[in-house]
Amino acid sequence: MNKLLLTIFISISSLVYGEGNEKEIFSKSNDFYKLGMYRQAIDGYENLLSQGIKDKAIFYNLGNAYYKDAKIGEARLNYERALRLSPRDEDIRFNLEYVKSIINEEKGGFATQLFAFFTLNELTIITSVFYLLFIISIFPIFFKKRYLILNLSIGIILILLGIWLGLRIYYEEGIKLAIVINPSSQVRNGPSEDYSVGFTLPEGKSVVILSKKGDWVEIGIKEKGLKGWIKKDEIEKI
Amino acid sequence: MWKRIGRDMIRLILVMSIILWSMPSYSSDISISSEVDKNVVEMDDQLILQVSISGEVSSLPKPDLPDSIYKDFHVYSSGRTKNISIINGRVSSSITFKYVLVPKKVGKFTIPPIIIKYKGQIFKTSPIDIEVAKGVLPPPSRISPEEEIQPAYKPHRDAFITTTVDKKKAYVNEQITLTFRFYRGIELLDNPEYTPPDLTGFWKEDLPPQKNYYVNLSGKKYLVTEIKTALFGTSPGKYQIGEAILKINVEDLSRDFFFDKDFFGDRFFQDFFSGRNTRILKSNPIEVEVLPLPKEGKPRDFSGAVGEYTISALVDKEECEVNQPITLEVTISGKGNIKTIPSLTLPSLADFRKYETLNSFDISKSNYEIKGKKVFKTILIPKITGRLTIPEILFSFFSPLEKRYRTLRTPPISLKVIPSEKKVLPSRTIPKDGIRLVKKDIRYIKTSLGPRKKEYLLYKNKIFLGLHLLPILLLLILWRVKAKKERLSEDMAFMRFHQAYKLFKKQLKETRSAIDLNSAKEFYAGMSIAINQYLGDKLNLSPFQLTRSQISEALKRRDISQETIKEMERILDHVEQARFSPSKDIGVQEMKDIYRETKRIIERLEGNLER
Repeated sequence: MNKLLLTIFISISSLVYGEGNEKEIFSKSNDFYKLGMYRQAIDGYENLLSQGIKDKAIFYNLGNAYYKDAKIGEARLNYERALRLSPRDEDIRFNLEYVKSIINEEKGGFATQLFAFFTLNELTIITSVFYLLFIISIFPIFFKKRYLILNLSIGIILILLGIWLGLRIYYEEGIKLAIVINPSSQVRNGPSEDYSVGFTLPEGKSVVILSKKGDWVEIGIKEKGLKGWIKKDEIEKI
Repeated sequence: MWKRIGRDMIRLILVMSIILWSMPSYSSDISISSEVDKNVVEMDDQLILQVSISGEVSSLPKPDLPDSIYKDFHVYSSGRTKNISIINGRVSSSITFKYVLVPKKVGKFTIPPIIIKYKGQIFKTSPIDIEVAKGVLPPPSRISPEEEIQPAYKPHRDAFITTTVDKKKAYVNEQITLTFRFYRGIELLDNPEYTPPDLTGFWKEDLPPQKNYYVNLSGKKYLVTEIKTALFGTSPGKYQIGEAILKINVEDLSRDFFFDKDFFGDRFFQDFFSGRNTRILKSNPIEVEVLPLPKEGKPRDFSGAVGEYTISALVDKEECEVNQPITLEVTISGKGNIKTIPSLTLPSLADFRKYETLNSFDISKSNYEIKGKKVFKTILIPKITGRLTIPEILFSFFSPLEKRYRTLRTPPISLKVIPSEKKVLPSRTIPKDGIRLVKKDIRYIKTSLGPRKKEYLLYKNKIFLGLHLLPILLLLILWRVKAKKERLSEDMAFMRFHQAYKLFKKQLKETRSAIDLNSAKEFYAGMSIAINQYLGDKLNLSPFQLTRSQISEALKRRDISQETIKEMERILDHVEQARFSPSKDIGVQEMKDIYRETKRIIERLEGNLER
């Protein structure tokens, strides 16, 4: 009994301490940012992330600090991560598009924006609600009453939502997207320095991870139909 | 997809071919050319050879004159002109080397191609043909009027050399003109060999052109060849300009009388038959004192320039956009050793980004004085908008004429820096709302953290997914219940259908006793119950609310003939009528008839009715 109480006490106190510490580090990093000490700000935000605290504000501020430190790749990476947590945040979207425009990457169209309008969890809940509605709309059948149009429309919406959710899960969990964080990376035609350089990539470009072999990763660029091998540490997964 | 790759390939090939095609022009981003001021020259005249190299690089190589040129000509360097221009941030420079060529002999010569090597490539000029004609010697000119310290000449000699200086005391870096003269009253057999004096301690610059003139000294006529050199003392002290040596070959006149001059007048025969006499001519060494620059009054920024200079500064445009380059050009021109002027120190320009200063110089040696100008070009990029000032630029030098230091300053230059055109553009296209976009940048950081959440993905949560089974389960349960209920009622109908006849016969049997008792009322009531019960059971209808039309319709639906239905209706009418308005005279026989008829028609129905 005493042991249990002790455990609870420790876990509560560590939670309280952790909370305070986290806010302190965050505001201190923000102060560094305001002073133009971007390296120190980056260290602070990275420290928070390494503690497992995932917050859109941390990712966003980290992206800003990296941008000010002229690290486009890292900046974009963190904006992308922030946007996944909060896809409708105007500031995050604005800065991401700004960074993308620097490396001449096309702005996502309306469809792309709509596709990522909800977070994965939000989309899951919406789909779930429509599922429930659909089932409820079936009930009157037991009382010899049919609302065919209602059933059909809810059913179609549910199917579309299911496809949407499936694609989102595929894009975020199935496809492994990564950002080039090394300035002007060379992509080779095989997983070793011995192979010739196929093409180069600017810092901040997004690529799809296809496979891995030792220190080398096979990547692809969808819109260009390009494939090649790049060193593991020159890219980072979103 | 393949179409796109194909298109990219074509594009790539196109770009590659353009690059390959433009390769030669890329590599020949430097060029070399040469020219002479005249192609026909007289023996005692001289010609000027100019070699120009230009290219889009800041450092150009120096050409090497081919060795063969030295066989036919005396070659003197006559300075060079270097020019650097920066257009749109691209550096291009050109350099022109000037040489004075004095022919050594009569004939036709070719100046071979002049070659420079640059980045492993060879560039050459086209050869130039020169014809050297045997000219008349120029009329005697007077000795240059400049004040000279004339050494004692030796009038009894038919050839001698002298070296003179224009001054024996000079400041460090002040020009001393050294004049070498070769007097000859005799014809030479071939070219003399000249060993210049030792000039240790001086920085030397040739002063072409070589001058030839006649002079009369003590009644003897001499052809004088005069070569001037500019000297600059590098550090203070006493120096000696060493002796100059000239080796000449003259004919031995003692053997002259052996030959008939008319017959052997030809030079060849003279050379061949007359004796050679080699003479070594020497000049006297000269003591020169190089004075140190005075210590008093030395400006702080003095960096060693000596001479007479002027300074000017200008910018290529007085109004420019922010972040757009402007070129500041500072020119120092005048008399003195231009080459050794160190680079300029610009005042601090906090509002500008400053790029490396490039300098170019242009030296002229006219009138045997080293003159010229040095141009310093600096690219400045204004960082802010508004009115900016480039402060005055100082340049200090020592003037040997005035024997004091002088400091020159350029007037400050005022610049108007306007905001960049590009960034103003959006505001010009949407001027209505009055919003002016000045500079696009990322947005500011967020200052608050959201509530601390555990990172999770709902679609992976088993409880959440499990909850979705509940409605389906509910649906299934409901469906089961309803099905069972329906089945049950179905079962009831089934039972009634099959037991209907049995019950009818039982009821009929009970009613039969009423005939025996002659109780018409009971009989008809029993009959009514028996018929209605039977029909109700058979047709799965309630026996209590049966109406005539309901029965007829139900029977019709079950394919019972019209005749049977009519008969059934008649019996039912009769029974109902007799039941509710019994007349006393209903006899046993009548009841028996009804009984029989009813039994018959129900038996028929029983045979025909199907579920």
